[in-house]
Amino acid sequence: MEFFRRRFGIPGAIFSNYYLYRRGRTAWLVNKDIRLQDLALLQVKSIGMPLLRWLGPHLKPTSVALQLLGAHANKNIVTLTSAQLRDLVERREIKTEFAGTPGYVIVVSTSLIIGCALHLPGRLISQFPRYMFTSQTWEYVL
Amino acid sequence: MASLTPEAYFAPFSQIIPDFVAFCRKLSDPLPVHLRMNTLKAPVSETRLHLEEQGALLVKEDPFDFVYRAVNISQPGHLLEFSLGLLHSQALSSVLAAFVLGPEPDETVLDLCAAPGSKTSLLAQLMQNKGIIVANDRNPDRLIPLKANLKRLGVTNTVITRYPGQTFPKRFFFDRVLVDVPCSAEGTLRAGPSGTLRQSTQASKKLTRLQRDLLLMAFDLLKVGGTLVYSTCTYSPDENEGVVQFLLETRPAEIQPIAMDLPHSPGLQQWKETSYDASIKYCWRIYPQQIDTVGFFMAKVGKGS
Ligand SMILES: C[S@@+](CC[C@H](N)C(=O)[O-])C[C@H]1O[C@@H](n2cnc3c(N)ncnc32)[C@H](O)[C@@H]1O
Repeated sequence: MEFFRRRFGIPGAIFSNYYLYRRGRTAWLVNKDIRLQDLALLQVKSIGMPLLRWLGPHLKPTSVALQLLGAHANKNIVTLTSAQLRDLVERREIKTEFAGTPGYVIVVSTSLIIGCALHLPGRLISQFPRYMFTSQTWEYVL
Repeated sequence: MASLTPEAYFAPFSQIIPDFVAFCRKLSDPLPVHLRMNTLKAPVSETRLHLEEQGALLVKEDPFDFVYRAVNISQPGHLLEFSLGLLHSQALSSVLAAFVLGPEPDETVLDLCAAPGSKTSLLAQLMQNKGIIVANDRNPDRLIPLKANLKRLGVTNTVITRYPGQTFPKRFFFDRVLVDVPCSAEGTLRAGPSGTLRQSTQASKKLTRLQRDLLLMAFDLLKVGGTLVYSTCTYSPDENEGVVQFLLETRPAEIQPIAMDLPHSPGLQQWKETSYDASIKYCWRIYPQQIDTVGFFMAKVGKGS
């Protein structure tokens, strides 16, 4: 959880309520409860929520984890206008300079935490899962 | 597949459905869209404000402070707030079943037929993501939307299993069990512009046998002193009171009153030649002319020592 503290300033104490499970290249976040041990008697298909993935030497947080924990972050947060967000989702990348060091960032727009993107010099690359938005998310008007 | 008018379709139940004319008339209205604000991700007031700023007309559904009828949103799945897990589109009847189960934050809960997870994720919300939920469904294809919904809604207290519910291993016992069985589902029917209803799955002996087996196993997996809710979205007495009656005849189960003040009809005492236990009147039948939602049946069951 050192990664979340270093990269986003999310205090380690936030994780004291959870267990972390690693399965393959994914770490899962699950509510801390001693009785989970007893569930080892069952054939469990999945547990908790995906927190991050190991991509070679890098750690990549999931968008859903950032949505849940991102409110505790204080750095590497990128705020986009609605139009920029739509571009990022549709084109998977936008070209602009952002403050902060290269690496994964938390994308915020209209005060909502949207998820994870990769910030490289002059570029922002979407890491949102493709199925996260529908083809009509940006057209849908009430 | 046959198309029938509501009157013809539900003629076999015309004697048990109160105000049959109003019932049939209600089926020509579209099913209202209800939004359940997901407090695991944001306070109700924030999500509501976001929607209202975009022009959403929201009407609070008492007694729930986290459920709103969306007057002018027909496809909530396209909302950004939906994608971000700030809300879930969920029928009021489905909200009720989870609410009546009434899980406390540190309890252990089994949702025996859980996919696609509308009730599981509400149980997690009611439990503030604490304690443990085991969300089980035997259908591998339906585990995909179950996982996706739990992820989107930020649920971290749930474990997913894939057993046939009727043979779920008796290795771990639960404070509360929800058994929201597969059913003939005519409660979900509303007449389209054609004014007719399409045949849903037929109630069959095989289906009622499965429902009985699921309910018995759910009861066996319940701790003494625990609470169980059996629910369906059908009006068929064979799938509702008949299944609950079978439980009462085979297990030390007790049907408990549901302490909520909402329009409903009591469980039946008789259907054709069959009489049911007096306590079955504590079950709830919900018809769309009473609460504008999916037609529903619920039994709240206790397990004494
Ligand atoms: C009415 S739906 C459940 C809806 C769910 N509770 C919700 O609120 O989203 C019934 C579910 O039972 C599952 N099912 C059918 N037979 C089953 C069995 N033998 N054991 C466990 N689940 C079963 C189906 O795959 C289906 O997902």
